Amino acid sequence: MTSGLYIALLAGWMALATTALLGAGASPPLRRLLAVLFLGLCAGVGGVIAPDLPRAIMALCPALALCIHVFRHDASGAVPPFVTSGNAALALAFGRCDLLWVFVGASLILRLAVAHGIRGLDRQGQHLLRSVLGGLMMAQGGLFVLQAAWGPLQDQAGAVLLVGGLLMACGFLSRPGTGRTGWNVDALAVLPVLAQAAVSWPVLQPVLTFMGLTGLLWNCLPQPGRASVTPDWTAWAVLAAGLPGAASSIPLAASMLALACLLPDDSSPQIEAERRGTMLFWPPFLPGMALVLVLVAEMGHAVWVAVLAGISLWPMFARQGSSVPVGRAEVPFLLLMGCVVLGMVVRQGMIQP
Amino acid sequence: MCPYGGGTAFRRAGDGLNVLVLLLGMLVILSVSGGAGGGGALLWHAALTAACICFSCWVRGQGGMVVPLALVAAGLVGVLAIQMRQAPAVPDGRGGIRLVGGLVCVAVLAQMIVSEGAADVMARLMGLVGLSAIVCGVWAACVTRGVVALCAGLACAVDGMMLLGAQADSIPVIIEALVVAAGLNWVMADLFRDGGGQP
Repeated sequence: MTSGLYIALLAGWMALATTALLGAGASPPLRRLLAVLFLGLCAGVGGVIAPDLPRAIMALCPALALCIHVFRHDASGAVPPFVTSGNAALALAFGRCDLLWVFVGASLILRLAVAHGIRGLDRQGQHLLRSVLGGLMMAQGGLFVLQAAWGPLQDQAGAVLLVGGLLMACGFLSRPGTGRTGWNVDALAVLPVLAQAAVSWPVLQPVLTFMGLTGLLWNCLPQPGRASVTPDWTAWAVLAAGLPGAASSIPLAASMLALACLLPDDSSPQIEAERRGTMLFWPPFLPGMALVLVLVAEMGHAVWVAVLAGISLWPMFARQGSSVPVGRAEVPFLLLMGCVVLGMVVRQGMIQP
Repeated sequence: MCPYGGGTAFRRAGDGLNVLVLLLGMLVILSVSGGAGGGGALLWHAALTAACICFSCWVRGQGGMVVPLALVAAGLVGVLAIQMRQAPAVPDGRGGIRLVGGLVCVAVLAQMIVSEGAADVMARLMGLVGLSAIVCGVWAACVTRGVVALCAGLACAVDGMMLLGAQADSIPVIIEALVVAAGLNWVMADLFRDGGGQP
């Protein structure tokens, strides 16, 4: 099986899902069925063509995020999540930086057209347009400089533009309430592609580490409109993507899984308070596994970064002990996912050969 | 081929023209970055970008699809600028931040991109202008509050992307710029149809 066939299968799934949802009125059973089909497609076919287990798990993440989103929210008539997660899976299947704008831009057009097409842009639409379009164009400029290969200093400038632009496009460091935090599947597509690009352009790695640390420290600041402090999984994944080559794959896969499985809930603070305390942070639950893996890998690479990242966890532990709000039904699932990651580490070791 | 070295002289004349266009482009980038929202500046910027790409292709002796696509992009941005003239002038009060931020961005970029003794100075200058247009445009779009100025800033960045795409002879990047320009036109038309020109 080649990646071309995989891409064709994904595109076919997107066409099928959109047609079925538009034709049959997007009833909840149909949406669940389609989401599970997508998960099966990504797990089966992506597992065959991915070179190793961590990459297969990363390819699975958009489908997993779609499944969790569909099973959690029962609102009918929502086609866009299917198309955006399909876009993310396609971007992962191609794995090329210069094609990211096609998929992220297509998701942006879809979101704007569905949410704001009739009544013009509101404030959220403006924010979306500004961050995604501006970020993609900056990333294009950075890619141009990197491909021109003018010298080390110029490559650094290009790396800053590329990483900053792509992270801006996927809503990194955006305030809560700007409409991006709930369903941020763009980050699931952008981060593995960036990590892959960092193998061929090592100048990207310090920029990724810096941006990850900035995100972690940003998350520590008290912000209005946020009921509880949860780890910013995008920042942890960015930090993991900045690890050098072989060390980054398993921590990145674990934090991507956390990013996909722990979708922030946009329910009221009261419901969050009722749910509080149902999930433990300790390994082998998934969040703890991801945190420990990233911290251990950073410890082997740059101790100061690991110390700073560990300090950024302090406000969370100080405020709410060792638990984050999550539904009761998700606890066994998170335990299972954590065990999958643990099994991956036991089987392959932290550092890939 | 030419006994008097006319070919070389011609190339030098072309390079001189190119530098002139680049410097003018830099000035206009700064003006757009300083006072985004005016339709005239954007029109002038689009025309200058197209002229710069045409000169560059002419001097390098290659063009193909790039020149007509550049003209199309200039037309799209020009239509955007003409649409923008219908908008009432709303003082934003952030012109100072835009100008200072744009100047800082251009200074840092120039410091990093153009180094001494580089072989391909022309390519670097053109890349510098494209990057400055992108960064200044995105900066202006990030700073502003109104939709019209947001579109103006993004259109400025589209011009920069056109320059980079033409420099790298990359048709996909140019098509991306065309799509973004068309999308901005759509947003602007939508705004005037529904909101009566209120940003």
